[in-house]
Amino acid sequence: MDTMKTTWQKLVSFATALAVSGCGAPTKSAGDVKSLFEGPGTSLEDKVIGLCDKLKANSEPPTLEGVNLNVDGCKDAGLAALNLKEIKEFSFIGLEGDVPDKDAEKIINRSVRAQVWLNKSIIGMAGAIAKKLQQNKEAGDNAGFVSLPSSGETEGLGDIATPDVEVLEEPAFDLEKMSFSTAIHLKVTGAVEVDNVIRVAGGLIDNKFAVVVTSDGEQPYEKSLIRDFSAMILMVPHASDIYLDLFVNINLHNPGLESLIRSQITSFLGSSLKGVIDGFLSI
Amino acid sequence: MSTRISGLALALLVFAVQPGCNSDDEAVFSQGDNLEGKPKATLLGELEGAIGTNGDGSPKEPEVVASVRYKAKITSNSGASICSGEIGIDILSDFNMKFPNAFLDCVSLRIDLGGILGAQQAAAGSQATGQGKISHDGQVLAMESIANATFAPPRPLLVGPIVQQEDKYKGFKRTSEHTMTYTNDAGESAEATGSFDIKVINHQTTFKYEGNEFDKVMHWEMTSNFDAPAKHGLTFKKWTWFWNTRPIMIPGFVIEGSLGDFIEGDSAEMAEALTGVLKIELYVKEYDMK
Repeated sequence: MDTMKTTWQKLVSFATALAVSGCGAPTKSAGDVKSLFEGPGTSLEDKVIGLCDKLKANSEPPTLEGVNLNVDGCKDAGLAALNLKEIKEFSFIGLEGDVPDKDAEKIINRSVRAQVWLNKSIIGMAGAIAKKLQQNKEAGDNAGFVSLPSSGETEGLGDIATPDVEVLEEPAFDLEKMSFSTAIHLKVTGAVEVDNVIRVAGGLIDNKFAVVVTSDGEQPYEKSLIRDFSAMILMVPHASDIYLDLFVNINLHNPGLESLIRSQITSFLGSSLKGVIDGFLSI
Repeated sequence: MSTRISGLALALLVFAVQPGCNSDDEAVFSQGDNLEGKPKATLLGELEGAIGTNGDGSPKEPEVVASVRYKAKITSNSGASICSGEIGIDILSDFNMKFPNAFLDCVSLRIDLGGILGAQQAAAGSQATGQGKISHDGQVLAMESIANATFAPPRPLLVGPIVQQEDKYKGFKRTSEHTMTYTNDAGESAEATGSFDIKVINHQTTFKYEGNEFDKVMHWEMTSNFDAPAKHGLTFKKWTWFWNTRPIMIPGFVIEGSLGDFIEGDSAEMAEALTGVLKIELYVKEYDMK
């Protein structure tokens, strides 16, 4: 009898174990953790809006406080997203920008948004960044993982204009706050002259990455065709991919032929931003 | 008996639990409202293309960004007025120029202004100017090939044209030597050497013509001495520009050279007048900057 009871207990234990772990999960099934995949805050739209809200509320960089950027509430995330592998340049959704001196027609404002799926997993990206950090550490480079081009290393925009980048503040990576910041001096000579100091601040916020870029002050036409600009780049892991949402607001001094300049700046932004992202992903 | 009932209960327990696991798991990933999925891209139609493409990648037609109508006047080597008329020029978003009507018809002459200003072919109707490799050294825009000729090094074409600091051009002068390769009228490859001389006459002046007034005008000229017809590479004897720097506009320009190749006339008297150096003056009558 005792033998029969022991056998029964073993069978019940086996059946229970089979019932619980039969679909492969050692302790919980996907159905058990269903709530983690659904509900408020987990759609791409909610993730992006949540990140924007945090950037607006941040008192320290990266923050949108004081940044002239129309993010339109960060809604419509992913609705115009293309796959990075399938595009040669970025394409944009036009946003309503704040046009300074509109009546005087002295400023051309371009406010745009680009959305792209990077076709990379967050694990692969994290691995690449960790590898780069390790390489920098071994090389004794404590500046961080972002290596900006120095003067003379940048390619010209054809032979029309030559960009020159001087690093004013070496990229610094704060592992405690999971943030980084840097400042560069961008000069372009040739058919147009550009002279702006650009500040970049980025950080990891709730497993999403945000970068805010701003130019220092407003430059006069005589010194720089770009009066001022700002940008925000969001990188959000979603659906086993990384979603990139990019907002740019640029104010150019208007030398005339506004529609020509406007079309050229869209082309310039489309190709140069693709280059920046390709460069970042190649780390 | 008790063992058989227990065995049945066990079997029922196993079968009851197993299907429930799969259906619930699959629902997480297969539900239409699975929020971890990528949203459907419903706004692709609103994308503005980059580099001359539409949002869907198809080529975008260049748009007219400025239309200018000039009054034209042609004088002969002796100073006699040969012809006057009007011509329109459209500037396109890809920096090319288009001539709604490339020919200026006046009296018994037919003048190919499109050809004079660099169009590849003198065909009736609209046409765009040819464009070679462009470079810029901070003061002058140069072009490697233009009007069926190639230059080594690239020839200077325009001072500026975006002028952010007029003072940079105060008293500006430059001479450069070039070799031009072109196909002559016999269809053979030919070479000519020569130089371009650029001189800024006034880096900041005004210009008035028929009610149009411009107050940020740079007045400059370019001369050249190539031993070849001007239709090859636009090697005019002299090219004078009145260039408004902001907003960018060309209120006037004057071309001097052996321009007979660009002009068709049907009288012997006219044919004689067309030989030697001719001067073509174009001054803005009306314009529309978009």
